[in-house]
Amino acid sequence: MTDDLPPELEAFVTGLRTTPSANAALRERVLASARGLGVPRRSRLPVPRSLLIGLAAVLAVLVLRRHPEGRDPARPVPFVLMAPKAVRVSIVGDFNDWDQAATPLQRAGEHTWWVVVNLPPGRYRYSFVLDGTHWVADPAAPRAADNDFGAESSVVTILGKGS
Amino acid sequence: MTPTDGEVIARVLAGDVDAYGIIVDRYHGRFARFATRMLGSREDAEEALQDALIRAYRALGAYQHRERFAAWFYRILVNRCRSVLAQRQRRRAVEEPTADEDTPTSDAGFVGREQATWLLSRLPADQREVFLLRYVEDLSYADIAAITGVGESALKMRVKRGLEQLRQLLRQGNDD
Amino acid sequence: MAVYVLTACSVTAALSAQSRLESRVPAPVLAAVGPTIDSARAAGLPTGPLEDKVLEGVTKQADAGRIAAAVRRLAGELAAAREAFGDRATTRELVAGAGGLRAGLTRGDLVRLRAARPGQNTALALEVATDLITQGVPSDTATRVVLKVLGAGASDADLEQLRMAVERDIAGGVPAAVAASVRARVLSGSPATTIPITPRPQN
Repeated sequence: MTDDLPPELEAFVTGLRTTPSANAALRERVLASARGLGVPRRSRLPVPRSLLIGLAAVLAVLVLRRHPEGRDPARPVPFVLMAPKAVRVSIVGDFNDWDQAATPLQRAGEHTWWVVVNLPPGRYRYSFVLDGTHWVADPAAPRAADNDFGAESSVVTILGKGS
Repeated sequence: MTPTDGEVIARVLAGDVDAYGIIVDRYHGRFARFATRMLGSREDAEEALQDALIRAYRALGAYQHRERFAAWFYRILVNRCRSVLAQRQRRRAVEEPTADEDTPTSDAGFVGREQATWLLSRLPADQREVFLLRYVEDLSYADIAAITGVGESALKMRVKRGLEQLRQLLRQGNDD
Repeated sequence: MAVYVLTACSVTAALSAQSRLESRVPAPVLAAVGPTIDSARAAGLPTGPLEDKVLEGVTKQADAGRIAAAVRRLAGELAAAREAFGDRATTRELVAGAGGLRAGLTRGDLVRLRAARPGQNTALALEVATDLITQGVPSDTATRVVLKVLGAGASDADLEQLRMAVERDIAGGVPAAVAASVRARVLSGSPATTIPITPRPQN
């Protein structure tokens, strides 16, 4: 034990040193995410992401055609989540009246879910809903400062034209 | 022969993604222990640890000092735990004020895990963090400084204050 | 005439908000949040963010009391942000100010951040400061670094770059406050001092 610990605290520290037992579910969730993300260095663009980027490019062309000039057009924004055990996933937020039925995600591969949402410049709070009951903040986005209902949300910021 | 952290990470970067499981297995115990003691909640700790492991995985390719995975990972985990605590504090400010929890006591004094957890929760988060890294995780002040971004003399001051407060709480608990 | 037009506009706004909520929100929740939303509208505060909060609460299955408390709190924060920014603040600025207050910024921080970008939309500066705080950067450091890059003439894209760079650094294990300070120094053109971000050798 560390030699500068006062003797009267030794029993206390010993009590704190017991380690939690192995957690197979956590291990599996981490590995499922790792598989979905692909190899860190070699594969900077795993398959689902390249798919999304292609899709986003097509949507960008469509959106820009509808808003030729002047106003800040909506941008196609991809949202991706690793959720290997979910049967259905949707995204709810300030952009769809927090309606679970409005924006379902699609499955890509075994673990990945995705959707592309057209968003005008602004800032939006949102969250994923798994199987209608389980709330998950986006691990790839900043958390919203407010958490009034016991389930964290994330925020996405879309910059305007000329930013 | 057991592969070193550097060898395991090299395997992951070469395409064997599941080899990351070796790292998870190797360090789960101590990382889960730190997060659980720091946050005082197994659920929060599990979420923070999972999040940190995924963040570390994503950054693995850019990390050069592969044999020092644990020291590097502690920084990510410490940041996650701080975020959880900050969020909890903001949430608490919204809710109705609650009465202070009663001191848990036992005939055997402060030896049980429940009492130890309660004692720890009485320490301010910055003191709890450095106390755990120093005495439970057995890290040097130099390592703790690298992990927390706090200078060594400030760390020693925090430890001193934390130890004093723990001693006082321990005395109170055993006097009750 | 102008009065009639204004009245007609606010009635239209009230009706559209009502229909947006009525189709999704149970009657007890509507009854609980109605007075707050009406008061906010009467005070000239934006009601859209309050309605979003109601819808979020309903989707997350919170009870009427909790939703009403959350809406009251947000209305208070929007009012505080307007007090800090003045009547000409945009809805997005007010929402950003409210978020900043929730994250831990003070009214003084809001005023300073807005004053650092005179005549421009300051929402993004407030949002970036808020995001830094939610990622673990202390609130005074977050304000300081955002002011620093604004002082160096940062654009919206620069602010966004600051946010993303700090997020990446934190993910890579750099302590949050260090990441924010170093990135701000780089973005504002000040020379960065050496920061020990790689592990030191074991004792």
